[in-house]
Amino acid sequence: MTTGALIMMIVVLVGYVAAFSFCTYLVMKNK
Amino acid sequence: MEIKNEQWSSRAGYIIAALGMCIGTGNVWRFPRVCAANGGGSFIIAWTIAMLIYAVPLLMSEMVLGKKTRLGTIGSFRDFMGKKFTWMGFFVGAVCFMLMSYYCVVMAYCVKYFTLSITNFVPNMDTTTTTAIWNGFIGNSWEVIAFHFICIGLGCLVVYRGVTKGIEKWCKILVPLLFIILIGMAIYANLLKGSSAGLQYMFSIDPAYLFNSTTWLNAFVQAAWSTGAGWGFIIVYSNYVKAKEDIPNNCMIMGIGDNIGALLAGLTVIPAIFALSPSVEIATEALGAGNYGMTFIYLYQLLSTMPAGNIISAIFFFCLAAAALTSVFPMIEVGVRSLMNMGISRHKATLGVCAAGFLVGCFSAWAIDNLNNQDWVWGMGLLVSGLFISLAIIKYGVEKVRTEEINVEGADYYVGKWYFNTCIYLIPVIVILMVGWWFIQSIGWYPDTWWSPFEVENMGTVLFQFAIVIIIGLGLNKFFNRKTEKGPISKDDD
Repeated sequence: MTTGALIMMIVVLVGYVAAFSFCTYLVMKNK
Repeated sequence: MEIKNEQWSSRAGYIIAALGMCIGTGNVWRFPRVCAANGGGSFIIAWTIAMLIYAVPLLMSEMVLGKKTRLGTIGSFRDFMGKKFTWMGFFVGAVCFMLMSYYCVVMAYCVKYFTLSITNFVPNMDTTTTTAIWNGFIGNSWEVIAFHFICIGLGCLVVYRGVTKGIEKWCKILVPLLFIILIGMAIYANLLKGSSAGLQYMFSIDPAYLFNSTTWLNAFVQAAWSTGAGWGFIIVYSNYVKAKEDIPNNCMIMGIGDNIGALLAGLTVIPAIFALSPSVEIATEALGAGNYGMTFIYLYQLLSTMPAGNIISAIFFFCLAAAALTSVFPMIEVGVRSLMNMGISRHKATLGVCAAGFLVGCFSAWAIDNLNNQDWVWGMGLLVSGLFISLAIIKYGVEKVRTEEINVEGADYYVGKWYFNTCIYLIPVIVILMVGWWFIQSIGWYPDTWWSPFEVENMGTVLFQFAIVIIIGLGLNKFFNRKTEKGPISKDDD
């Protein structure tokens, strides 16, 4: 696997999980 | 009255049901194939942007319609756009009903392969064998109809029990289970020898694809089909939310959660296909074999070459069937809600919608060409539904919707004018471009008979079937206005 593809994979996965976690955190906070 | 008392038990219950609606077969088999065919990482960038500027604003618009009117698609268009436009709500509901009728057939295929994996799994099959199994199954129309009956029956049983005891309860079981299975399968697939070639294929960025219009059109189509934006589901699901329910964050969770589901499916299917294929050429051939070919011929064959392939295969097809089932619930509920608004009880409405859906779905179950035709026509229909929803917001006043309905007490955060207003005005342009692009493509497929209503995938069949629905909707416009009960914003002018 090339470095570019590896970086893209990390950015995509971390980005999506972080965004989802943040939105879920707001739901819990304002419950 | 029964319908007025129904409400999601909690915000989490609503979000989970909405995620179940979003995550369907479109995530599990369509995303990996389309992503691989359109440049992998480049496609992921375009598709993420499409989710943010098309799917999420449309979901917000649907939620505004449903929450404000507290009526199904027909009533919400009547109250939001005016009585001359009630037929548009009928169109949205009719598209959803037609989608439900053939979607249960697709689910039937998944259930059949789930049972095949358990009862009659043959190790080390070749593609000739799996092609014969597939052709043998779809060639036996009565068997497909029997599985179709089981699938619509499952959906009927759940929706019959109502929003909280039926849809919410089952989504709370199936959606987390779906995520657990997808995560487990993604980990397993990436531990297979040779799977890194699939990851390379999925995440490498080729700038040429980012400057290709086909990549962007496919990204928007995938975002529309996968999230369920513009289908009318969220209009109906939002009838049951609390008065101070948040709109922006809920819709963002739906968009992001749906994309995570698709990425997990991609992380399962693409590396598994590369790891199990004897060569890169065969892996590419499998990914290019269409939804059914990839899943029921190539993937099934590749699974048969694995140790404990029957178990993995059963889990995979269970996952597909569960994803389809949680999307069938809102498809049924859209029709049920509009009938309930006309004074019919939930039980009678559910039985009526499911019986009609079963009969109409038999057309798609009878021959795969019929199913492909329905998929083509009503897949296009949901883009038009999205257009109608955005027009409803534009007619009501985009800024008014943003300030008075979205950015209100109870919202986790506010959306900016630059974002919501721009996106809502962009949606009609995007839909016209997408539909136009598909029509131009289809003229190339049928240069001599593009106008014929009886081809499988051409412009004529789309326009013919749309015309039937629109004529019925226009003909019954006054009837719908009169029969549909009044909601909180209905006008007392008749």
